[in-house]
Amino acid sequence: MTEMHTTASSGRTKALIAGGIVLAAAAAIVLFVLPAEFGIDPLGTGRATGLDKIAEPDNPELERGMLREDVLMLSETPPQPAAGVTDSWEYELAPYESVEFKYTLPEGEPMTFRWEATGTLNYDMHAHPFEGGTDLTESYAIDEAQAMQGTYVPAFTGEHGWYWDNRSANNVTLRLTASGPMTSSTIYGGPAPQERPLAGATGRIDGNVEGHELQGGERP
Amino acid sequence: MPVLAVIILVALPAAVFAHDVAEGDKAFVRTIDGPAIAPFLYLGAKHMVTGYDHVLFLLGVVFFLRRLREVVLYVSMFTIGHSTTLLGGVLLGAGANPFIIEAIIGLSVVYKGLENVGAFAKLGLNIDTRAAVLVFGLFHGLGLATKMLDLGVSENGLLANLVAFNVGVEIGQVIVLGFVVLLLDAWRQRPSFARYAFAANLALIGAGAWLTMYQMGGYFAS
Repeated sequence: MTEMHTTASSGRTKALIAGGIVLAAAAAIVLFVLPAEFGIDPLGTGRATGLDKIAEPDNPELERGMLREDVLMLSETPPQPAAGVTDSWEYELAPYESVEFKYTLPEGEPMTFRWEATGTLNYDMHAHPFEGGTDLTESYAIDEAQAMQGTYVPAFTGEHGWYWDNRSANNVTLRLTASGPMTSSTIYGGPAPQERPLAGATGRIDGNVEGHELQGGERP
Repeated sequence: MPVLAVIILVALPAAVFAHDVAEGDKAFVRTIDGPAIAPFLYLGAKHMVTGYDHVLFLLGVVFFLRRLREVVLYVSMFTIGHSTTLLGGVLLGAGANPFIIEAIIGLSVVYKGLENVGAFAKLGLNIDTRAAVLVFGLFHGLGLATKMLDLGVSENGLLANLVAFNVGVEIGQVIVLGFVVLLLDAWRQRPSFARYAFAANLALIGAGAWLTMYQMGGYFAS
């Protein structure tokens, strides 16, 4: 009789403990995990604590870029070549590798471009002015895609281009073609920025972006 | 069955989360300039709960501990160890090579597994477990510090955010321990515990050894 009573009450205790754990876990998920990981904030706890910022960080670079008009105009069909040099560049991204490619461009003169990859890439199309550097970086498009094409009119003189991130387990080959008033190009990704001269480029714009880091926050 | 449950519990985070600071979290930390207590509490707890290396070590530490007092004692040694190097490492900006640190953390799992199967006693080695847990705790903390530095955390509000991260780590540790201790407790009352405890610790040794090899591979490849 006593035995049975003990078993029953310990069974109830166990059920209570298990129920408590499930409840606590559910509460923690709703209150903290959903806002922080997915930006889903049913009770407003994410906003109140600032946890929602983990899911959707402030992006001052994108906010600056969004204030601009007529910088990036995407098109359905490959754009006509623009006046200046024509360049193409190919790069194979290993799994989880990222790379950044920039053209040096003067303010206000259009460049047309198209890039295409053998798989989906995360990208951040952005620019750093020579005057102000990385403190004044502007992003114009951050997304994932397999191709992108259009016309780009630099809002300032500086380095303009893309950060690409391969978040797949496969090698992805990327091919970029562009034409316009580019004077030089720079590849970021290795231990040091690598300047890549352009065939046929006439003008020269001096300047650089000091303290440049890969856009994804990775230290080179 | 319980073995399976433990293996799943231990292996699941490993499969689901790469044990790096997630890229998204990094993007978040880069935008922080000043104290952000709640987010760093969360990131600390998340790092512990999804960090299978820390979870494996804790599992090894409490595997044969029946009494709460002992659990508290050993876990305190671990906490003192990892908090010391986490706080010190970040404030001094002293990160270490992450591969080496992770390899040593793997070794800490191997060590605890070996001790649990009585290997050191058999060899006549008399290692003070409390001291060992403290010392390995120092390395786990160095790993945490390296991760925190890798997040690129701002100098502005660093101390507040660092302490929040550390407290978050302890909250995460309590969550992990709660699960591990309850599951082990339930398992201990069954006959299968006596039968499979040895095998479970061999699995722990194997997992620790794999972690070590994997990280050393990463070190030589980098």
